[in-house]
Amino acid sequence: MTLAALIEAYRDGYLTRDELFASVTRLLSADPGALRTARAALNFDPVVGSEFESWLQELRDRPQIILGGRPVPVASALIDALAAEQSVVRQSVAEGWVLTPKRPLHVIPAIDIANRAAPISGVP
Amino acid sequence: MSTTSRAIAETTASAHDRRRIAVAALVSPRTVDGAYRGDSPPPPRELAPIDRPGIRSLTADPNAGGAGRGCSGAARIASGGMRLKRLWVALGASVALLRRELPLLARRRPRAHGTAQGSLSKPWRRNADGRRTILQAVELAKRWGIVVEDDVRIVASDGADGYLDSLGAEVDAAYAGFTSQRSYTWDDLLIQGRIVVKLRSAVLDSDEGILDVLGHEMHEINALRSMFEQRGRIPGAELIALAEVGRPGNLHDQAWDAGARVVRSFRGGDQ
Repeated sequence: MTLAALIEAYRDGYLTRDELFASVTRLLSADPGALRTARAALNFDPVVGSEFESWLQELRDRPQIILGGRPVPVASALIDALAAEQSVVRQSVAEGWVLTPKRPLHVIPAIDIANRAAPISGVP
Repeated sequence: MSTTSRAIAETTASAHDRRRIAVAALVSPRTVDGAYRGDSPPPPRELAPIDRPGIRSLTADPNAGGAGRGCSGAARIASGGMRLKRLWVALGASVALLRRELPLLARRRPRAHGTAQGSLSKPWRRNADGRRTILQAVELAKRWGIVVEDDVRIVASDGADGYLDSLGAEVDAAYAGFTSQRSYTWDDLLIQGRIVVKLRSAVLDSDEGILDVLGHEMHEINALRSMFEQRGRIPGAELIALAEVGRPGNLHDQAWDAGARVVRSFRGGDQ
């Protein structure tokens, strides 16, 4: 099931938020390279986007996740991708690319992505 | 997956006030009273104090410990008391160990139908007169004693959306997702006030399948509802222990029996 289909199912009232996030985690475990795409897609609703950031932070502790009673694997490659991203953020902060955040720390990766995508316009 | 490609029907069951009685009929007392904890290990104080070799030395060697030669009377009494205490703790540990292991031993016995990880009633007989609607399925379930509350919404898909397939080809229905990092209230399981059960459309081809699957899912959901009513918030890890496949004796496992019981009654015609 694709990311777009999952989001549509969520918007149609077919999935709870945690069902959506667990499903996306399953996709990302198979393809950690889709992390940024997933982030951007789930930001269709800022509340959902923010909740997903929290979910991603929690993934680093390798939680148990089940979906419809079935375990959802959290791939090491996904954990590595999250850690690598976090190190980029730390470096960005150290180099002054992003200011000391007024927002919660977990939003920083999204800010960093936005900065890199549009460095002139900055972050709203 | 488009909205049009998915056949969605909703339950519109009328309210009834026999909820607790019906729930109690479907849910085992262990789950109703909140004492049930899946197959999580018992409290450490029941198991930890003495290992098995220690138990053997206590019971097999009368000269072991401080009760042997050279001890004073007071020391012997104190030592005897200690031995009794240790024996008492050891017995407690053994009972706890047996209590924990017995369900596993029982599960190793071959079962009459299938395994505990799936339906005990398959293969289901297909209906001669074709597929039921969701409403008909819910009415059938209620007729056979399955409690389907008003806050349950059953949606059936034609399979094109692939959601259930993504969970596994053998998955006939699903609801909710949990992570061990969070805790949940009943409301967290709801979408617009209802818990949404995704049902494989093919199940609607068989009344036996409908009773098996809805019997299973409602057993779980009604038990969880009772637990949430009593406790308000439940840790995700505990919900996972209750609902995860492959944990013998947990709520999910029990639910297969609940579904199978209804199908047996249906096949026997003893409505």
